[in-house]
Amino acid sequence: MAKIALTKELKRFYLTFRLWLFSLVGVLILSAFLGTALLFFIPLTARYALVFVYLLFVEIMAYHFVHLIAGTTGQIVSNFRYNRKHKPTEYYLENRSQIAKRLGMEYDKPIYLTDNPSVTGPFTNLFSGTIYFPSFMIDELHLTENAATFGHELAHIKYRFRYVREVVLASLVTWAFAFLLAYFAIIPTVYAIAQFAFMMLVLSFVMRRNEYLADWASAKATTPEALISVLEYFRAKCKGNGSSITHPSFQGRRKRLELLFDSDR
Amino acid sequence: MRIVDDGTAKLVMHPARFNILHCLNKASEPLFVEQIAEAVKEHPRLVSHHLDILQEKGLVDCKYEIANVKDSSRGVAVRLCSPTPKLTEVLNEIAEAVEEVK
Repeated sequence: MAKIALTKELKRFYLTFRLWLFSLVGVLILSAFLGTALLFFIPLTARYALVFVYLLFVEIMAYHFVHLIAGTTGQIVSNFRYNRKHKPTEYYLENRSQIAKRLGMEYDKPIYLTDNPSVTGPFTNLFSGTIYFPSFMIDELHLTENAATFGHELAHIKYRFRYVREVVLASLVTWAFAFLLAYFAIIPTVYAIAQFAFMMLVLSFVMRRNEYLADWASAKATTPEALISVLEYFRAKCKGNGSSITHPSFQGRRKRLELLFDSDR
Repeated sequence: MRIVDDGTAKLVMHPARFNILHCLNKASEPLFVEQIAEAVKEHPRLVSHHLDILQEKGLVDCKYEIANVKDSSRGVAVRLCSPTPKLTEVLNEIAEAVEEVK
């Protein structure tokens, strides 16, 4: 028995270590890319139109980036401060293990409920593999809908290594783009910022794709109806289309889930 | 308020569920899933999902009957849904609560 527990612990340690390793590689590559941005400013031909397009990119992506960083930092600080005063409570979801089984994995960690007002939706800590739900969701949504949300978050945990790999790959693509762009650059600053914008664009694609994947996996493990219902609920609550650099719009996600209605699942 | 305490009001506040309830409450006769889906402009499977939840809460009464659907030559089994007295009570309580807030 002790041997099995040890093996399990070792496996968990290995998986966490692997995730950290991938993150480290990602950071190293990103640093290399930023370094190249400063080195390769070779002013060649005047490509004003191209620069204009890049500037548009920059404006959109910088806005999203600032939003993402400010939002995430705010949430981490707020969580830390709030959780010190009010400990998140555990939530027992009846069919938790069945959903995990259908996703082809095991999940033995608790789901936490938080009353923190800055937490407006469920989220997953990819490093610890724990899932947090805002407590209003449990009151306002049905059990099947909460199960679908759990399935979505669980899918993020299932595909976390793949996600990290894709982020690293996206950084590599951006790096390659840096070399390509060096030939068209007029002003070094524009060049550096354009690379950054392109990186955000690629990362946004990866992150959004990851959301679609989690939706699809959850709908397969539970039902697409329940997940669509959750999306509709959040659409009404947020009074927006829910689109951000990390998440596609509610409408887009719904359309993809509706495709599962006609398939044999 | 009872409906607030037992969580019914919160479940009813879902936009799609509220539309379905409103549609059923307005209808003069029981409606089946396809008819509700057409009225609220939702997919029938989504309507079915919401009806399951509403039935569980006792707001909607559902039974299966044979009916002629879309000029079909023979009857088809459909899920006929009608509002329960609890629904009228809940909607009235919500209206009262809104008035109070106003």
